[in-house]
Amino acid sequence: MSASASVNLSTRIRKRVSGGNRIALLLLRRWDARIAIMIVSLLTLSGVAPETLVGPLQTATTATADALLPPSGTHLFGTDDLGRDLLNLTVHGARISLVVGALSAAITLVIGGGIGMIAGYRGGRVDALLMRVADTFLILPTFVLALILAPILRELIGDQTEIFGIRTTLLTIVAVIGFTSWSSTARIVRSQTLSLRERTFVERARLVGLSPMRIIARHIFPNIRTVLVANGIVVIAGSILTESTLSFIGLGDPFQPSWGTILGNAQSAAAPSLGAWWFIAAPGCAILITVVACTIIGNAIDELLDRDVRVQR
Amino acid sequence: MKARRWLLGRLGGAIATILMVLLLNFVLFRLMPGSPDRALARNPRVSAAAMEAARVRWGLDKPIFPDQLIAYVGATLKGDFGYSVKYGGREVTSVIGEKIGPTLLIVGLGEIIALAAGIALGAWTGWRRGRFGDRVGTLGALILYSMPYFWLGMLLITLFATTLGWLPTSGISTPGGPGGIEGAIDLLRHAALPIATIALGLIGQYAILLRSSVAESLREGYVLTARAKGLRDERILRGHILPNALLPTVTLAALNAGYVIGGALTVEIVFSWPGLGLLTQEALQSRDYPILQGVFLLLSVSVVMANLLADLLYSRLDPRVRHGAAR
Amino acid sequence: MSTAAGADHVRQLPAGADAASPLLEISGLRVSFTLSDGRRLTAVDGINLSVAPSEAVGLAGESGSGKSTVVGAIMGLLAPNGRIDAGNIRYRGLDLVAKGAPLRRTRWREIAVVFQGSLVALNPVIKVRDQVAEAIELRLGESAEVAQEKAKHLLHDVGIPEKRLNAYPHQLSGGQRQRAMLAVALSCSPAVLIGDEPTTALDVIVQAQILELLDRMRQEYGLGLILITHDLAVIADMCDRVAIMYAGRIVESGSVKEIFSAPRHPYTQALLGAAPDARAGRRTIKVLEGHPPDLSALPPGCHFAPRCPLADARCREEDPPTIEYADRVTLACHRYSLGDGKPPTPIDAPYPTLELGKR
Repeated sequence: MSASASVNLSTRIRKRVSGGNRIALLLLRRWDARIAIMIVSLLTLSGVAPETLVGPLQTATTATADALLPPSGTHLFGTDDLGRDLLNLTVHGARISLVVGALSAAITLVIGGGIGMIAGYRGGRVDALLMRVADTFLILPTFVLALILAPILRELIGDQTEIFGIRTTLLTIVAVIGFTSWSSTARIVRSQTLSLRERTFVERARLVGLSPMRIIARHIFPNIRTVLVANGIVVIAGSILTESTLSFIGLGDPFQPSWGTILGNAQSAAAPSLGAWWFIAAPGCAILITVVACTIIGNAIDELLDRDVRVQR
Repeated sequence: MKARRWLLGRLGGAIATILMVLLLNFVLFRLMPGSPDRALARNPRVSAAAMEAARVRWGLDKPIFPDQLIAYVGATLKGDFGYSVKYGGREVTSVIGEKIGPTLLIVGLGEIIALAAGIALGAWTGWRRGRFGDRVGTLGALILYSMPYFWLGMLLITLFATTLGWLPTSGISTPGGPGGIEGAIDLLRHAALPIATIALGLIGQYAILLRSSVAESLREGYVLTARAKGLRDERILRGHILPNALLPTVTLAALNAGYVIGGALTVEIVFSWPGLGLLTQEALQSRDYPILQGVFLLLSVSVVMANLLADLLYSRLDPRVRHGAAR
Repeated sequence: MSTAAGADHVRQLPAGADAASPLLEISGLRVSFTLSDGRRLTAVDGINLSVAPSEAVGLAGESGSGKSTVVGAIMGLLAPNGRIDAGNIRYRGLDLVAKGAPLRRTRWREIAVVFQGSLVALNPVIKVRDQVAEAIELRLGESAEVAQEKAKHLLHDVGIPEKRLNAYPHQLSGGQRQRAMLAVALSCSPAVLIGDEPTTALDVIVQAQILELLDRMRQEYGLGLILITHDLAVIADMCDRVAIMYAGRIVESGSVKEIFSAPRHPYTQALLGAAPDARAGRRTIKVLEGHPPDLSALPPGCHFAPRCPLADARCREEDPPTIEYADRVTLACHRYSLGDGKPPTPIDAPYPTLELGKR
């Protein structure tokens, strides 16, 4: 009896440990996911060490080239209206776009995951109220809400300080995106939690008398981790899109330009009507490639998880 | 009976959402440093009378809760959204009212085109799922879906307006242009690219939603029956799969409308199209919060209404909901 | 009145078919599927089956034995990863397997199917009347009015009350839905009707009603009926002949009388002995141990050998040939030989037994 129980336990642990790894391995078998992962890794690399790749960020004063040069041997991606090299700007933009995207996604996951787990586990009125709020955020034009919130937040905390080398203008964007885009994560996590709550191991933990917080932390969270990762990657894609749109409108930081900020500059410089396509192409393609790659990875994990569940049934 | 209760539930949900938006708007308003009239005071063009009217309207001499909240909700429900800072204290409703038409034109037409094309693309890729055409079509839809609207617009301007010179780069009409029918043609020429941008941006979403819904339907038993009946593929798709697959797609699309509208607003900025999007950007630059809140409230209510409409449509079209069977 | 849809009694055979050839004849059919990891799975392995007008043939076996794959092959509706490797399916001499087979002409007009689970087999958002009329209009080229009128008669014929004519599938009871499905199947007055587990999800009383209706329709329209089921009692009640399938092969076939009174193949004996027979007062059941084999990894020899009490070394190495005896009895088992050509004396396979109801 005790022997079989321990065998049971060890296979369960092995299963849990290998679950995430197995998904990762399966992921690498798909060619589309492989390409997407490669792209994201390259982008992350340029986001981590832009200086070693293209030198320090060029500013209006350090730019040496002529304005609006089309792509050439010396300026692979051309130059902008101030004579800055667009390759330099785009690579440096990767850092800002990715950091803001990842931080916003992290906040989104914390809020959405937390609310989802509490709503799913507690059920009843708490669940009904939280999901009412989540549905509201799901429906609302949260982008417009973010537009209003960002400047208000900035007036409240001022925009001259830096935290961890990130200017507060960007941090307000992070906070605003996190605050406005958690609802779909909450919905997904809640439905997972609901089904986990009925499983025997959670019931057993409840009978043993573990506190709800401990049950959520020890039994629920480990089981929704992979779902959270899949959702997180899609959320990063969405955050990068939202960030670029906010920055394009002018809520970004001119001293730490993201891809959206560069495109905003292109718009102010009337690049489209000047025919300066390279000014638009480089940062835009960077956004597009990142978002497509993240979406492909997220969808692939989702499909694998789906198949896993189906096989188990 | 069950169906009616379901509808009443939806209606209640919509009302609750709108009340929540009002509360959110109120809190945002009070979040701003200083009292709400500070923004008005910054603008020298605002008359003393308008200032006084604002103070009375907001009940600034009374406590925030509940008096100011009640005053705010009451005023808003009466259609009084406050006064614009930038437009010299004009009523927000009248400023926004002027801008609705142009926005409705491009978003509406773009939406219709996108629905038609997105449904066609989604049905086709879903039907051919796993095959080459599906892979290409789905990747295309994903790329369109992942493009920021404003970027798509900039690309279209560069190509069709600047390089090829087929269409004007921006604005809603040629200054001092003709009127009558020629004026209408001029308007359409200006609207063509913004509409195309919104349509292209939306197609991806509709196509992706419908594709998965069609691909799922293909596994259903009734499709096997339809095949066994010897029906042509086109008939199976149109007569059997689409009636089932379209309904959830419409609902999901309505749920996504709020997200879409935000992106569509940026299209107006790119094309200098004088609608709500351009108004929003101007308001943002001059910190004209009443306008921003008005736009947010208007769009929120529209989106809630769109969802209610989609639910009503669903309940009319799906016999299972109509007769109160489980969904 | 009862001949509403079958009014055009002079059947128009499709081009290339000839009335002198057998109604439906399957010979040497082999169907395989490609799995996602590239292996091939043979779901149906060289089966022969035929049905004549007004005849009812039962195809019996456990789930996963390949019964439904046979339906897919006849209708040309195998899943995309499925393929017919060998064999023939002929309708009145018309080859249904060949490339460019006239499936578009034969489906439903000549061969129709009553699928299992009418809740999923009927389209949930279309009125049943329109689902019956659809094929009449599109396949027989009738006008919408004529099709609607015929649909009304057919639904009346299968016993759907007048006031339920405009109902959606979910508004009907399980039995009514299956009746409606039968009306859909009969809408083009086919010559062959295949029932794929037509009564599986229904309770016993409704099941009996549907079977009776099916039998009536067979006699009325002179249908060749292929009844696919795991329920041998249904076959005993409904069919003239029966074929027993195991792991993609037909292990034994013959007239229902012959097979049920003297089952020879050990698997048939197990199937027939596995259910208590209330009428015969039998309370001992035979216990068949083990599971049907994994079709993608079949060992050589007789597929039933691992579970067979009579199996020896030869059974595990050599495929048993299918022997054809007199009276259309066939048998694929090493324990029997052709002898004088008459169906052989059964050899009782010593299964463990279980006594029921002992207190």
